[in-house]
Amino acid sequence: MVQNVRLAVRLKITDNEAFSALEALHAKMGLSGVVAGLARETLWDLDVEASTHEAARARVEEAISRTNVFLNPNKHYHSFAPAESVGADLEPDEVGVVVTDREGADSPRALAAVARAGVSGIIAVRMRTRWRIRLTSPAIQGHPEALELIKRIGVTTGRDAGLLANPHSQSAVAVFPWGEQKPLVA
Amino acid sequence: MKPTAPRVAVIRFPGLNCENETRRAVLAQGVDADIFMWNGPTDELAGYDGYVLPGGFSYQDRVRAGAIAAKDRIMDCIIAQAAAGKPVLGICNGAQILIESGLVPGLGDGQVEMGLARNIMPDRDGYYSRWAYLRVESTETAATVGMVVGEVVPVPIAHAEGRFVTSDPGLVERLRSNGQIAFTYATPDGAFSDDFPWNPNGSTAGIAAISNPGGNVVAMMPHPERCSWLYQVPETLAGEWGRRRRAARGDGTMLIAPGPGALVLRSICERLFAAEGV
Repeated sequence: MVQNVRLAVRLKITDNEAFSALEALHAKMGLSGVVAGLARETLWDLDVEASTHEAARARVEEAISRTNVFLNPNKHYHSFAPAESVGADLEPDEVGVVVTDREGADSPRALAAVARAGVSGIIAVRMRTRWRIRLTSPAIQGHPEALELIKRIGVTTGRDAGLLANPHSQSAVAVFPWGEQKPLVA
Repeated sequence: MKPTAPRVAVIRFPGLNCENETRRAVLAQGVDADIFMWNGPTDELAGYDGYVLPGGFSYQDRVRAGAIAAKDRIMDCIIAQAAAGKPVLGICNGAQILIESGLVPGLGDGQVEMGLARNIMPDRDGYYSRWAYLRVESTETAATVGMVVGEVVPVPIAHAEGRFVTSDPGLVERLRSNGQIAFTYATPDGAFSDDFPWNPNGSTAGIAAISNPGGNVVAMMPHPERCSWLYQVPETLAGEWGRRRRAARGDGTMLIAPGPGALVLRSICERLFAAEGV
C-alpha cells in the first residue's frame, strides 16, 4: 500500500532567501505596505510503501537520519504537514503560495541517495516550495481582493509584477489557513 | 580627431563571478570595458555604448536564477538603453536576468514570456558543465553578425537552470520566423539533435540563445568568455575548433589566437564600432 507523507522543512537560522525575497517585494516592487513578513519552507512529498501512515513516517524519519538530502538537523526543523491540505497548518494571518516546477520536481538524486542509504520503501520524491506570506492586513478571509494581491506577489508576469513563480516553468497555488486552495498558475 | 574606442559596461550584481574574465575577453575585442556596480549611478551607466551582464549567481540564485536582479533599478537604465538600440549581452546568469526582466524575447511589451527552468537530463539533475556545440540559426542578432547560418561554434555551458521554456505555444515559431533564435544546441557537425548530451539541458527547440526583436539584446546560456582564446579550447574537442587547437600545440602565437567565443564577443563589438564610426 502506498502512503503519501508530506515533510515540511524550515531553517532554524535566518532564511536569507526569504529575506532577499521580502526585500525585493518591499524595496523593488513597492509592496512594503502590503507584505509584513515572508517565510519559506521546502515541502517534500514522498510516496512510501507501508502498511500504515505511521509506518511510512517512520521510514521517512529513517531516511532523514541516514541521509542529508532532505534536511540538515543542525540547521533545519522538520515536521510532518497534513497530507490533506497544504494550508491547514498556516497561521490565521498567513497566506501560502506553493510553487512547483512543472518538470523536474521529481528528485531522482534524492531517491538514489535514499536507496544508497539502505532505506527501502520510498518509491517517489517530489519537492515544492511553500512561501508563507504575512499580510499587513490580516483580514484576508473572504476578501475579494486577496487573490489578486497574492497573484501580484506570487506570479512573475512582468518586471514589476510578481516574484515567487515564473508561470512558464512553474505552477503556483494560493493556500489559505481555512483550507481553501486557489490556483494562481495552472 | 581619432574616434575613441566604444565603452562597454560589464555589470557586477552581488553574487556574480565571471565579471573579470568577461571584461578581459571584451577588452580583447578592441573596446574599452569597465566593471560597473549594480548600485552605481545610472546617469553614468547611460553613457556607455554597450552592456554585458556576465555569469555567476546574482543574489545567490535566491527564489530563482536572475529573479531578484531583474527587479533591480539598474535594469531600468539597461532597458532604456536597449530601447535606444545599444547592444546588451546576457551570459548565463545574465541571460536569466534578461529573461526574468522581460527584455528578451521582448515581443510582449515588458511581459515575462519565457523561463529558464531547471535542467532536464537523463539520470541526473542539478548543475551541469560541459562543452556544447552551438549552431548559428540567425545572423540578425548582435551576437551572430558575420557568422553563417549552420556554422558550429563550440562554447562551454555551466548551469543548473538553463532550459528555455514557455507556456505560449506559438512563441518559439514566432521567434524562429523573426530571426530571434541566435543559437541552438547541435551535434559537432551542426545537425540539430534534441538528445542528451547534444541538447544538454532539455531546452525547448534546442534553444541556446535568443534575442529581442531588434536583435540588439541577446540572452545566451553558454559562456563565450571562457573560450575567447584558442588555448582555452581542449584538444579533445570534436570538429574544426578541436583540429585548430591540436594544430596549435606548442605554438604560443597560435594559442593566443581568438577562440570560438571571441566570435560572439567580436560580433557584439562590431555593432559598437559601426555606431561609433571607428
